[in-house]
Formats: sequence, structure tokens, C-alpha cells
Amino acid sequence: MEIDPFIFRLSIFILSIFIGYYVVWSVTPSLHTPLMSVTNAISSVIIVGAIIAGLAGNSDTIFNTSSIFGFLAISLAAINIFGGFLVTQRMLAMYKKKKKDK
Amino acid sequence: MLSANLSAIFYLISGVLFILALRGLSSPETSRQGNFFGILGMIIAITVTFLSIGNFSTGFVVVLIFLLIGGLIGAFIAYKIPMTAMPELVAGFHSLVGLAAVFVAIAAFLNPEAFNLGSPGNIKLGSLIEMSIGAAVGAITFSGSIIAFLKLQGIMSGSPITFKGQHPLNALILISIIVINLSTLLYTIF
Repeated sequence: MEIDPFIFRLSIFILSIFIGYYVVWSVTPSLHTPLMSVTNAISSVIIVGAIIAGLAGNSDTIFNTSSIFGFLAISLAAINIFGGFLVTQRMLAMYKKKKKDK
Repeated sequence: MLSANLSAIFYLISGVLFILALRGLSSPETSRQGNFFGILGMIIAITVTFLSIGNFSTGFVVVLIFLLIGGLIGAFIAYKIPMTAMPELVAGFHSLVGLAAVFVAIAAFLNPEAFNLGSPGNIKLGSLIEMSIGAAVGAITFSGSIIAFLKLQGIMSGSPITFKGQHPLNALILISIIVINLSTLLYTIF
């Protein structure tokens, strides 16, 4: 008997919930904002779906409704990816400097 | 063009890198390494997506342009923003992800073939469930993050807004989301 792929994805989803919970459980309070911003940047992995939607059309139908939504989603997610990781880097650099001063 | 199995393995690698990124961010010593893992995972995920579709025609150029526009805006904001405004910046960024998730759900619903989910009007049940939950969660992320942004920015008062019948109303909204999702599913199946 074959397992429906949906059940596979559901299992991955449920296990990921636990990973997220335990990984984030013991974080130093001062790192909460960088952690939030990295988590936010990682959630932009939705860009994978957006790229698939954007690339779906052939040369005649590049700008159909579906791919236009894809293009918009690509831009939104890209703002997040670049913004999120760069901002985290800036915050962490500050953290390091502060430590040296002490 | 990458085979489906090979790209799944690469996606798994980037998933593991994302977990390591979160883990790294939990202590100051490993935090910079964690951020690096996150960037690496994202680069792998995006590259593999391009390679697995293998469509490097006009659409590819348009996708790259939109990617660059978003990237430039994001990088510009990240460098310009004062350090004191970080929490509201993260909240603002997060609302964009919610909106992007809603857009992807719409795109997948309109063009399920691209995502290998069936054909329009005949989408697999599991995928429909994923789509409707994705759209609902994305929309909640969007509006919730905007409120968080406005509160942190001080445009909105930080004190909780309560009104009579709030909890029944919230319950009603949750039930309507479930009912609308279910009716969409039933409508599509029968």
C-alpha cells in the first residue's frame, strides 16, 4: 500500500513544529530580536513557490494572472531575504562590539 | 534540469541549514555562524528552484528583475534604518512574507499545473487543504504584523484594544475561516 504524499508532508510539518519549539526554547533574551529577524528571513523561503509561479508561463503567457502574483510575491519575499539577513548581520556586529567594550 | 529527487535532496540540505541557523542564533558565540547558515540555505533553495525548472527564457529575466528590485529595496532599508527601529522593522518585514504567501497560494490556485498539483478546477484534495490554510495563515500574518509594526512605531497605542464581545467575534471569524475553507473543498470535490 502506498502512502499518500499529503501524509508525508503533514509528517514533515508536524515534526518541524517540534524542531522550531525546541530550537528556540533556550535563547538568551538579548538575542531575541536577531532571532526574530533571522526567522523572518528564513520564512521568505516562500520565494521558491513564487519563482515556480513566475516561471510557469511560456514566452506568450509570461504575464498571465498567476505569474503576475508570482512576480509580486518574488519582490516581497526578496525584500525580506536581503533585508532580513543584512539587518541581522548589523545587529550581531553591534553585539560583538558591545562585548569588546566591556 | 535537476531531477525531482535530486532537488528534493538539495531542499532537505537547505532545510537542515535553516534549522542550524536558528540553533546558531540561540547563543552569542555561534550567532554570526547561524546567520551565515541561513544565507547559505536560502542561496541553495533559490538556485535549486531555478535549476529544477530549467526555464531560462524571457520569464527567467523577468523573475530576476523582480528579485533584484525586491533585493535592492530590502538592502537599502536594512542599511538606512536606525538601530533603535529594529523591532518594528522586523515586524514590517514580516508582514511582507504573509502577503507573499497569500500571493503564492493565489498563483498556485490559478495555475496548479506549474506546481504539479493537478489542473485548474481539478486540484488534488491535499493540495487544496494546504493552499487554503496557507492563504489564511498568510493573511493573518500580514494583518497581525502590520498592527505590531504600528504599535512598535507608536502610531497606534500599545495598550491592548478590547471591546465587548471580542472573544465571540474572534471565535466567529475562526469558524468562518474553517467553514469557507471546507465549503471550497467540498465545492471542488463534488
